[in-house]
Amino acid sequence: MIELDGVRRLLPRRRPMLLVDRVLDVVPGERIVAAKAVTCNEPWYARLPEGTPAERLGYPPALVIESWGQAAGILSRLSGELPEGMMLLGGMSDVVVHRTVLPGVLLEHRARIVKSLGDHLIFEGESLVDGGVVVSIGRMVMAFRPASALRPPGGDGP
Amino acid sequence: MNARRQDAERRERAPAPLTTEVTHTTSLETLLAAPCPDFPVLPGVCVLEYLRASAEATLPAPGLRWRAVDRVRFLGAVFPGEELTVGLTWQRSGEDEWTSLATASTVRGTAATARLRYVGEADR
Repeated sequence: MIELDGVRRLLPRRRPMLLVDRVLDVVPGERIVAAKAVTCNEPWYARLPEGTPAERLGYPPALVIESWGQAAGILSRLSGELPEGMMLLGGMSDVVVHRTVLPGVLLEHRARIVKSLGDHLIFEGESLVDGGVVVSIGRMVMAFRPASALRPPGGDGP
Repeated sequence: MNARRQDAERRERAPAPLTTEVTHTTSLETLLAAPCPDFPVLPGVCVLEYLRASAEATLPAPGLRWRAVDRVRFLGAVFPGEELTVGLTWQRSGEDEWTSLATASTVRGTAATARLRYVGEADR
């Protein structure tokens, strides 16, 4: 089990984009199970009127995917032998949104390493709520690049 | 009637692809807030969110719901404050299903390409 302090050490993301609360199980180089609690107090809901019906408070699917990807990122950080630098999302395929995620649930992300290709890692897996799949990820490619490869226009970068 | 003939007739009935374009000024508004404070490049899923928002601003039929990302490739960085133009081509891909081929571009070129799938009530 890795609690939030450990998650913060493993991921560069910060509030409100830190979307993993706890790692429940991990086998470095193979798989991870991580949890994220969804609440109606998250900032993505701030612009909705107070009386918005609960069924219209669907959690943005892109953030479910981001949260799953952060779990995969923790797995990559714990798996060693990876290049230094920023962890970037290279691409995805066969991502299916099965169900709407509503506030009050605990997302359980399961990610598995399919293949390691030098500075790329390929993952697959799913996000579940109460044992049912809400989003499945057929394939996610993560790339590791030096920060200098991504300089803002006209800037010197970090 | 065989399946091949049914498919051919469905294609004939399908309207021509619908092409549209939406331009955003990317920002660090709430959904995109400072993912990496010392280096604010937009995470890939934020670019995906712009693709989704553009698709849902130009849905070709009422009542469609995002069902799948068949594929998405992130080809270049996007930085907060710059212009991101999303070009979309909609094609009917099933009885109650539409597919959007989307390309997001900045002044430096293509930032992402994606194929997003939407379904209607009947396929939920």
